[in-house]
Amino acid sequence: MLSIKEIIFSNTICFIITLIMIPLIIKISKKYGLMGIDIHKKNKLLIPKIGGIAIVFGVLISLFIIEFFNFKNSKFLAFIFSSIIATIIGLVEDIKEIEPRLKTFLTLLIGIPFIFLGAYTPYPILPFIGKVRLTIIYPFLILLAFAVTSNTANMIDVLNGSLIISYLIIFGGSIITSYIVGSIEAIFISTLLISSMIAFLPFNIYPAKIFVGNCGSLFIGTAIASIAIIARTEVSLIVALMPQILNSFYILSSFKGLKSGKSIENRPIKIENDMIKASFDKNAPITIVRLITARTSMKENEVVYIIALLSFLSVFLSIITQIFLIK
Amino acid sequence: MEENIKKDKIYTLLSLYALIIIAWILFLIALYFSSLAIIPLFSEKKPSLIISILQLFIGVSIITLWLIIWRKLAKIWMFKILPKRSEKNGYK
Repeated sequence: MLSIKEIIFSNTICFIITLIMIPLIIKISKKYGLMGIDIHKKNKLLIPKIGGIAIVFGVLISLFIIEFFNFKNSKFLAFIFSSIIATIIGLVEDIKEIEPRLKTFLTLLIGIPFIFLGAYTPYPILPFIGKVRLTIIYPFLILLAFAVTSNTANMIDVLNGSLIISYLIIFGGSIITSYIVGSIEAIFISTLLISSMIAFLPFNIYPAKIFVGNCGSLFIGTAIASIAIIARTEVSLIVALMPQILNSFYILSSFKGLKSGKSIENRPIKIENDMIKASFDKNAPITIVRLITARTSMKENEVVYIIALLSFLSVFLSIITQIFLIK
Repeated sequence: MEENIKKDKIYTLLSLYALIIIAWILFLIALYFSSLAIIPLFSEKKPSLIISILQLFIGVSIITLWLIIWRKLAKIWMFKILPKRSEKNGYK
């Protein structure tokens, strides 16, 4: 059982490691040309694109320090192994683009450590109905859950700070839902993610000095699925992720399959004088950014602000779902 | 002008809040009915294979129906509710 002192100590370590790692990653990215174009800016600046590694190191090293002498906890071990798989897939994608179908298949593998280490309870609790036994289907749902959450996080990372700000709110909500069900492990992982992301945010917020990258977004998506499986808050997690799921679902259904965003001719938005405006093309994919800018053009940071407010609502609904609807 | 832009932003936010709340209610309804369809599968000791497949099919169909309705709603929001009256005919 983790004490409050241990949680505070590891969160401080996590914050400091992330902060130290960021300038280091900026240097490495510049040296090896791991730069991405900030496409929503007039001057199309080149920005280091593997910043998420700082978050991964911050969270995993502090978790490793606190659990170094106590690796009997299969849930933490499963989280660490799944995170490593997700980060490697993301890093490969950052260095050399992976074919979308192959990437989706690879993200299905992220959940394997949870299945092999048995770090799950195949009795999810559903609203109105209560506990259901899903011993055969649940392992398959785990694989699917990691693929969905990691790709969903990846697809919301389109604007400076959009991923970090919205997921800070979601992890904040997951602390509350995990507290309701009494899962100290899930609370601990959530706090680590929050500490690391708070350290990262000033560098990623508009105008960004570093991108999260696929390595960071897949890791963050993996963390949220891990928390839901560990705490058994699967349904409230789906509700908390509604704006993000909405975004990825609309993109996939508009694309009619798995395609790279870069290969799409009909762009969902257009940029004029650093302002984002929804495209008038009926065939363009309906994304969350396009919906937000359908009525009036907005600055990049204003769109991120609205995404954050949408996340606040979905997190509020997820807490209602957890408190009032789940028996 | 500034006032109108502010109003548009508030309208956008509230409209999207409405969309998320509708999607949440529909999600709970879909989850409830699909669970009702699937749960007997796990309580019966020796369920009939055909009935099991049928129940599973019904459960998955309900969730799929929710996704289809959600997509339809997004289209309505994108092309009817969110754009200004003057821009509604601009989509081609």
